[in-house]
Amino acid sequence: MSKKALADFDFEAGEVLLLDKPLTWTSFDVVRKVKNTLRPRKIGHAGTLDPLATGLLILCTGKKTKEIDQIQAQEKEYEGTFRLGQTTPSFDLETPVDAEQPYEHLTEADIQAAVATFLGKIEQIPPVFSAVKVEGKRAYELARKGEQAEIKAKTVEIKVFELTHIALPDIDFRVVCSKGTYIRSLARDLGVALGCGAHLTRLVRTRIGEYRLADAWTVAEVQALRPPRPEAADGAAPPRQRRERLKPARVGLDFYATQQADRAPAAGPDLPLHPEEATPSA
Amino acid sequence: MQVIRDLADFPFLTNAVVTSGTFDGVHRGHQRILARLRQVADAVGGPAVVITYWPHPRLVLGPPPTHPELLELQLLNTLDERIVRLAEFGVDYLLVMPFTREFAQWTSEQYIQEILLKAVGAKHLVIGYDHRFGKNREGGFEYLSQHAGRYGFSVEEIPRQDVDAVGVSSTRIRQALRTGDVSTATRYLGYEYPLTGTVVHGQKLGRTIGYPTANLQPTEALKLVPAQGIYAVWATTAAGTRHQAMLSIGVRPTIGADLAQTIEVNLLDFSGDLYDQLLTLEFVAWLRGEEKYTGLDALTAQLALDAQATRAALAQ
Repeated sequence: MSKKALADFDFEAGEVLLLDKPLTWTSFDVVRKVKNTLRPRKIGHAGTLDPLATGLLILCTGKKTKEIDQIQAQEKEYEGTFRLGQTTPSFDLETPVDAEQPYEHLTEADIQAAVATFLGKIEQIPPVFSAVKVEGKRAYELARKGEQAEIKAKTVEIKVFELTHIALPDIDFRVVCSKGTYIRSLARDLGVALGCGAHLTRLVRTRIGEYRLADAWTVAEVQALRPPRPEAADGAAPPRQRRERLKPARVGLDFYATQQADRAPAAGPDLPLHPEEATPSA
Repeated sequence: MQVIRDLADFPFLTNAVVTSGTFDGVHRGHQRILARLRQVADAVGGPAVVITYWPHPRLVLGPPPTHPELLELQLLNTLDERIVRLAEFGVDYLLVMPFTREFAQWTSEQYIQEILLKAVGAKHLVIGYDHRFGKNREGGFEYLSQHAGRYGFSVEEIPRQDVDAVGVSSTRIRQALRTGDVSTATRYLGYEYPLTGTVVHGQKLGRTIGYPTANLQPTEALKLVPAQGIYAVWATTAAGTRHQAMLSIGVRPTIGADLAQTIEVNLLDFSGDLYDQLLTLEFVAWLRGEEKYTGLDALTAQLALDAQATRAALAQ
């Protein structure tokens, strides 16, 4: 698929926009950034990614918002890493490790045998820390309040589950799965099957249906489309007062941020760790 | 899937993609290998063929198995169960070679000529590093690879980790069933563990307390019977009707001492005569261990609770 130049897109009429979501941004941060940059009348996303996941996020504008449901229903492909021997409440790095168990005794055959048990149609309980609603409330709201939410299991299909590299305690994988599959739950369930616990430490969505990450734009490339602001000249209107914006609640990301404090920023060269840290926008 | 039990009856196939193995359990590890077989078959446009043996070679050869060997020989599937499961995973032809003493004397060259080349018409072999055939297990993966050109077939190796995973899965399932861990067994099998038996006459005590049971005699002597205890199961009658049921495997300590082990199942919401018929059970959940109760009243009360627990377990 040859990439049309972004400048040739007609977002008003309707486009399917493939984006590479930056690490730590929520999917809604991305939607908001693109909305503020392009100002389409209508814009929506076709399937979220966790803040600590990166990769393909599809937005639809204008008439193409009609295709959102159809895109969301497609199969997804992911690459990532599970870490064995440690569990976290959110099954990824957003929360600290809460239990450790020995894993060194596991052979590759043990791990492959356990991986094989997840192929095909499986029952999966979504993570408590997620957008799934329980009795009208989002599960993560209940989780933040410390309530145990009883979430029902869902049937999902794992079409491909391959280990691409094993260097215990880390195992790299590639998964192709039906919509509604939570890779975080797969991490938890694989950890249970192996008896040592596991959590997700890296996740990249590489494909949604026929749409591929290789064809996606970065947020910086989209931002570059904004028409430049007219220079403030004498007699021009005085600068607007910046409204004090409430920082949106970012479940667990504060923990992640403290973990990253000593290290170099994980985001791309031209992107801040938090979308709000960008140069002030209108 | 076509099942052939006599080599002479095997239809000669050109371009057949062939693998061989015991496939006892046809569990998740096996299913992964069958998926690769299917992939290769689709790629070359030929039929997927599995060669398997019955009875288990170890029983036919050599000295009587020692106790640990016998434990390993306890089957996860009867031949019929194996056939039914293989059919579900994209196998086009199944050759069940009768494993006789005479067949055990074939050299590896005879095996290749008589079975692979003349009977099946194999063009592509999908083989694991531990595959052995022929007298004294002299033939193997290396031999086949080296001589592939001479025989006119290609040899593809099943990844070592997939082969090893099969052994791990089989061991896990056996361990799980021997400790009553139904959920682990189900997970590694990919389906609920089946057990088929003929309904034989028991002591006929159950009916006196309101819980008549069908006593099962497994059809296959070597079939692995799970650990003693009380289980929630599905029971399918010879007529084809499926019922919620609770199963007891054990020695019935409340009734008496030193009794022989029985496998007896009470079908909830069912009345009828099942004697001398086949009944198939599928293990869904372990409820509790066997216990000795103070008397029949206490036992009856517990059975009512077990019935409730069974309904709950099977509702999921």
